[in-house]
Amino acid sequence: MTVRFTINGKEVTTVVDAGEVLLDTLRRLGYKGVKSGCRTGNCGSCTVLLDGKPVPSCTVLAAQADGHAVTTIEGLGDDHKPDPIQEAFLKHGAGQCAYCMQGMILSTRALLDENPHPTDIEIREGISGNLCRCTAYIKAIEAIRELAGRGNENPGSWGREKRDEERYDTVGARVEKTEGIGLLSGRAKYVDDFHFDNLLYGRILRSPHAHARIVRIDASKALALPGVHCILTHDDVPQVPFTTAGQNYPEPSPYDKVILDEKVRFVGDRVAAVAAETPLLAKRACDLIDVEYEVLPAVLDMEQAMSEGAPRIHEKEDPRGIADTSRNLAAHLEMDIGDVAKGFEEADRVFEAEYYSQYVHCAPTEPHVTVTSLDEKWRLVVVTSTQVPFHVRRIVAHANEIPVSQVRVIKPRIGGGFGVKQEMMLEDICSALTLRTRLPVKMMLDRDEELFATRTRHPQKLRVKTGVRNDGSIVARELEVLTNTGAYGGHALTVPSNTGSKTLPLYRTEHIRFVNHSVYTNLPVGGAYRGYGAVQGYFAIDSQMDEIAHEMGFDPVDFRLRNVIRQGEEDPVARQLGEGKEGFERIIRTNGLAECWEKVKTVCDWDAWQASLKPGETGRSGSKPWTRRGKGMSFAMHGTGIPGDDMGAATIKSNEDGSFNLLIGATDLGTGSDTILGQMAAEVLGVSPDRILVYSSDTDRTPFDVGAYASSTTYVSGGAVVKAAEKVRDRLFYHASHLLGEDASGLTCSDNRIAAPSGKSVSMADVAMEAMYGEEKEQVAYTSSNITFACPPPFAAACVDLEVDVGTGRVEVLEFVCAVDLGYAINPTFAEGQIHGGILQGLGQALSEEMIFDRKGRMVNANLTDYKIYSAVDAPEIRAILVETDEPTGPFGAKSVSEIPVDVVAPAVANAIFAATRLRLRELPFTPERVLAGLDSLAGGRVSPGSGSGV
Amino acid sequence: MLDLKAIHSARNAENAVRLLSEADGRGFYVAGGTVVVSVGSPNIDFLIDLSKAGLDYIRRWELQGEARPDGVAVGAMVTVADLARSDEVATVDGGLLRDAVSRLGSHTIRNRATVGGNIASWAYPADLPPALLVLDAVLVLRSVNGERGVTVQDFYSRRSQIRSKGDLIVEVRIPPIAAGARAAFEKMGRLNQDVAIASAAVVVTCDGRTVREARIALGAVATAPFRALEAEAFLAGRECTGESLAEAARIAVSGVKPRRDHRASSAYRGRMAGVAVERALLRAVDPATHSNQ
Repeated sequence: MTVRFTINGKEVTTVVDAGEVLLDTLRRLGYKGVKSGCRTGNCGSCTVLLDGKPVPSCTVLAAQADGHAVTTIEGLGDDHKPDPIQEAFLKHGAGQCAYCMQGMILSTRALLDENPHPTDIEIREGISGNLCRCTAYIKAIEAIRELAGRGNENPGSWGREKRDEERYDTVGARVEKTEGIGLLSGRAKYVDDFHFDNLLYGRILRSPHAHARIVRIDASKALALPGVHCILTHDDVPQVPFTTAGQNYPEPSPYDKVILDEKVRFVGDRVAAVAAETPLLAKRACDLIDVEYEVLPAVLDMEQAMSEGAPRIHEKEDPRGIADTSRNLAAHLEMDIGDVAKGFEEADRVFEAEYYSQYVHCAPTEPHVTVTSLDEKWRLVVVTSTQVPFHVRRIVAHANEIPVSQVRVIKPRIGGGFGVKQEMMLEDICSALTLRTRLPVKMMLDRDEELFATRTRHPQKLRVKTGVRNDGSIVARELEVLTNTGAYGGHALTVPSNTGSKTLPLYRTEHIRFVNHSVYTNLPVGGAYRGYGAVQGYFAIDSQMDEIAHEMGFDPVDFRLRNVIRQGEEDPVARQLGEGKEGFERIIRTNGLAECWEKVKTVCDWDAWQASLKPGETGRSGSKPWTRRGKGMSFAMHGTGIPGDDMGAATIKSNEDGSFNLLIGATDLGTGSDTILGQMAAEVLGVSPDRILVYSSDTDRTPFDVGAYASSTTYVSGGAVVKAAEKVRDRLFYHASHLLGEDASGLTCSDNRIAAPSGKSVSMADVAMEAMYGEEKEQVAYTSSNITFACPPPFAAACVDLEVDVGTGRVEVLEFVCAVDLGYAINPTFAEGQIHGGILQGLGQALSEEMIFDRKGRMVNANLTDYKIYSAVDAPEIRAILVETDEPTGPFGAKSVSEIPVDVVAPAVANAIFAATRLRLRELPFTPERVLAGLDSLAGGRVSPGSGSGV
Repeated sequence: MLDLKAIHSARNAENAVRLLSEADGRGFYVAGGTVVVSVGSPNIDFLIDLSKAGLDYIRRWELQGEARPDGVAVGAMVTVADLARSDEVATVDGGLLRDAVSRLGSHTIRNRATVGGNIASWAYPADLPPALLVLDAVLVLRSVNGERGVTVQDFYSRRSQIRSKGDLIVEVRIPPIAAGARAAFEKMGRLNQDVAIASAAVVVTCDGRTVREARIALGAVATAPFRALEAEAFLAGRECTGESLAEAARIAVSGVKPRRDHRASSAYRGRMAGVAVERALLRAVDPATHSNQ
C-alpha cells in the first residue's frame, strides 16, 4: 500500500508492506539514524517524533504514519548546524556507543519543547523510554540541566582534584569524542547502516529442545519459496571444532563447537541457517524447515551435571581443551598457597558461607550484527559488531577452512559490547552463507535471540571459608567455586580463574586455597561479561568481609584497610593463577585504595551516618513508615590487561600538513578508546588532538590488536601508541634540525610546532612537508607493538545508600558513590562515564536482572520488558571519583577503569541491605520477592499480612 | 515480525467493525500498536487500523436528569499521555487516571498506548482497568449490530455473556467521583518502570475520619481486574485507622487465587495486592503524608 507523510519537513510517498513498521520504512528511505534495538518498544533506540511526540517507531505500523509528520535525528541538525542538544551531549560525554543516543536526543528535544525548565524528575521521565546500557544517564542529565539553564548542580562526576599545574597539554583533558557530532546525528555508521547491492538476510533456525540429536532435516519446502537462496545444515559446513571465545591464540577455551552440529545442546542452539531476500522470507523459510529430533535427557543443574550417570553433553573423543567429557567437566582449577588446613587451625574464628551469582546478560542496545560479502578479488569481507576483529578473522578462517589471507574483518561504530561481543556469534555462519551464495548476507539477532542464544555471565556457586585471628588478621581463606558454563565452554577456564586471581590478593592472607569446577549444562552459554569472574568473586568475598567484621565486632572499614595489600608488596596469587596457565610476578607499584575510601567517605557522609546510629542498632527508619535505610561499603582491585598475553600495535604516519594518521587495531566499543589513543599520540607529537586522524579495527589496514577486553586498551594499546609516536616525533626532530640548523637532541614539540632551546621554532606542517618533499623524501611512519607483564591493578572503594521497603521487599538505591584509583585519567569525562555505566550494570546484577528458565530450559523472560535493565526513572544518583596514583608502568601513569566499577556493586548492596535490616542475602539478584522472603525468615514467619506500614 | 496479508484503515467506528466482519481471514483491530505490533502473532492475517477512525476525542458527558456534575467521555484512541494531560478528565476523576497511567510503560509508550487498547488488553496486567472499575465507568461498544453501553464492571466480570466477536471499544464514559471523594492508585513492580505485579485503585469518601463509601479494585492479580466488594463493605461506616485500612486490605485479597508467572509467585503477588490496597487507601485518606514522591 502507498503511504504519504512528511519526514523532517519533506513530503514523502512510498509503498509499504501491510505489516511493515515505521522503523524499517525510515531506514529503507535512508534515515539510518533510526536504530533497531529490540523491536518491542522497550529500548527506544528507534525513537522518532511523530507530530512532535517521541514514539518507538518499531511499534508504529508504516500505514499508521500516513498523513503525519515524522522527525528523525537527521532532521534535528547536522555537522554544520547541530542542535544545541547535540552540542551539549557531546560536550558532556552523554553518549558512549551512542546507539541509544539518537533516540534520547529526540526525546530531549520533545521534552524541552514542552517544558524548557524541567526538574531532574521530569528529565528522567522525559528520557525513560530510552534505555542506555553504557552510561547511567548521569551525563545526559547533566547536559539537559545545562540546557535548562541550571548549570551543573548536583554533579555526578567529581572528576579529579585541581592540580597545581597540569603536566600535559592534551592527555588528561576533557577532549570531546573524536567522532564528533556525527556520532549524535545519525551520520556515524554502525554495521546495520552499510549499503550492499543484492543483499540477502540470514536467519538461524534454533533448537526448541535443551538436548537433542538431529535425526533428519528436510528443507525442501523452505527452499521452494521464491527468494530463498540457501539453507545450510550440518551436512553443508566444515566440521572443524573451534571456540567462539575471541581470545589470544591458542585460546584457553575448549574447541567444543562447529558451525552447525548434528546435536543441539541448549534451547536456542543452532540447527540450520537460511539466506533469503527479505528478513520476513528468511523467517518464513525457517518456519518451513522440517526437523526430526531424537530428544535426549537434559541436565539443567550444575551439581547433577557432574554426577554419575548424568547425560553427556559433549561426547566426541578427546576434543581439544575439555577437562573431562565423562563428567561434563569443561575446566578444572586448583591452587594452593601455604596450607589452609594449618591456617584454619591457627585461626581464632572460622567463617564459612555459600553465595550464588545468577545468569545475567550484557544486553548491549545493539544486538550482534554482521554483514559478509566478497570483494572484487573474491576475498571475504566481514563487517561486524565485535570487540575482537583480529580474533574473528582467525576463527572465521579456521572454521570455514579458508586461509586467513582471504578474510578481512572491519569493525565500524558499534552499539556496545561489555564482553558479549568478544564472542563470535554470527561471523562464522554468516561467512558460510556468503561463501555458498557468493552474495552479501546480513545477520542481525532479534532481541530474544540476543538474550538466550549468545553469551552470559557464568553463574557461580561460591563457598568461602575464612580463618581470622582476634587481632583482625586473616590466616587462611578457601574459595571453592562451581561454575556453570552452559552448553559450551568459552571462557570456562579463564572466567573462574579470574574469580580467584582478581579477588584473593586484595586482602593479605597467609594460606590460600582456590578450587574451581566448570561444568557443562543444557542451558545458555557462559562467556565474557565486564568483571569477568571477579564480579562473582567479590560478591562472595566482600560480603563475607562484612559478615566477619560484624560478627567479630570490627569496624568494617578498619578491618578491610588493615588487611589490604600494600604498595611494594607482591601479589601472591598472580604468579600461580594466570590466564588459564601459570602467571607472572606482579608487584603492586601503586595502591590508592585508602585515598579512594577517604574521598568516598566524605562524599557519602559515612562518619556522620555511623555516628547517627544508636548503639546496638543497625540501619535507620527510612523516608516512609515502611522503609528502612542503610549504607554499605565495599572494596575491590582488578587488573589491567592480561600479563604476557595481550598485545596491541599502532602505526603512525605523518602527512605533509602536520596531521597524522593513527592506525590502531584497538577496538572502540563506545568507550572512547579512539579518542583516548588519539590524545596520547597528540600529546607525544605536540599537536592538537584534531591533527590526529584515528582509524581503527580493520584487519587489512590497521596493525594487530587483541581487541577490547580485560581492561587493556588504554594501557596496552596506549603503550604502543606512545612508542610509535615517540619514534615518529624523533624522526621529525631529525628533519626539523635541518630546517632550524639546530641539534636534534635538544628539540621539543608542542602547540603544533617544534622548538629549539635557542627559541627558534618551526611549524609541524613545515617539518612534515620537508620530510616528504624535501631533499631526503621520506614517509615518516612507524609501527610499534606493546605487551605487558605488569598488569597493575586499579583499586576501588564504594558506598551505597539505600532504602528497603519491608512491606514489598523492594530496594531503592538513593545514591552510589564510587572512587577508582585508575592511575591517571587520560580523559576524565570518559573515565567517569565508565564508572557510571559499570555501577548501573552492577546494580542490575545486584537487584533486578536475571535470566529465568522453565523446567525445559527455555528462557521465559527473553525480552526487555522482563529482563529488567535500569531506565532513567530507576537509576539512582551515581557519584564517580577519580583517584590518581601515577602508575609507573602505564602510559602517562594510567591503569584501567572499565571493569572494576562492576566489582564493588553487589557486595556494597548486600552489606547495605544488612545494615538496614540485618538481613544477610547470599543469592543474587536481590529481587523484591527474595528480599521479602528473607525478611520473613528473619521475623520467623510472615511479618504481617498485607503489611503496608511495615514492622 | 508481523506477517500480514493486509491492513485496512477504518474511517470511523462503524466502518471498522464492518471491515473486520467482511475481510477474509483472521483479523484484529490495531490502536497504538504497543501490544499487537510488538508482540505480533502468527494468527493474524490482517489488521484494521483505528488511527483515522476519529476516536481521539475527550468531551463532556452530560448526565441528563442527574443532580451531579457532568462526566467525561474519552474516545478509545486517546493516548494515555493525552489522557494524563487532560485537566477535564482530572476534574471528573480526582486525578485517578492520571495517576494510574503515570507508570504505564515509558514516556514513548505512553505516547502510543491508547485508552481503548489498554482496556482491551484485559488478559495483560493493564493499569487502567482497576481505575475504571472504581470510577464506575461505562464503555460504549460497537458491533455490526450497532452501539451499546456496558459497564466496565460487566465488561470484565461477565465477559463471556457480554462480549461478542468483533466488538470494538469506541469510548469510555467516566462519571464524576463524589464531592469530597479522594482517589489513589498504587502499582507494584520490580522497578519503577515495570509491568504491574499487582495494582490497586481506590476512591474513598469520608465524613471526618469515618468512611462513608470506599471503592476498591485490584489489577494484575487474577485473570481479570475486579472490585473488592467485601472490603468496601467492611470499610463503610468505619473509622479510618491504620488497623481498619490494613484489615480492609487483608479482606480485599482473601479468597483470591493470585496468578503465578515469571514476574512473581502466587503468594508474593497476593501479598503485593494487599500492600497495594493498603497503601492506596492510606494515600487516599491522608494524601499529605503518603505521597508517592
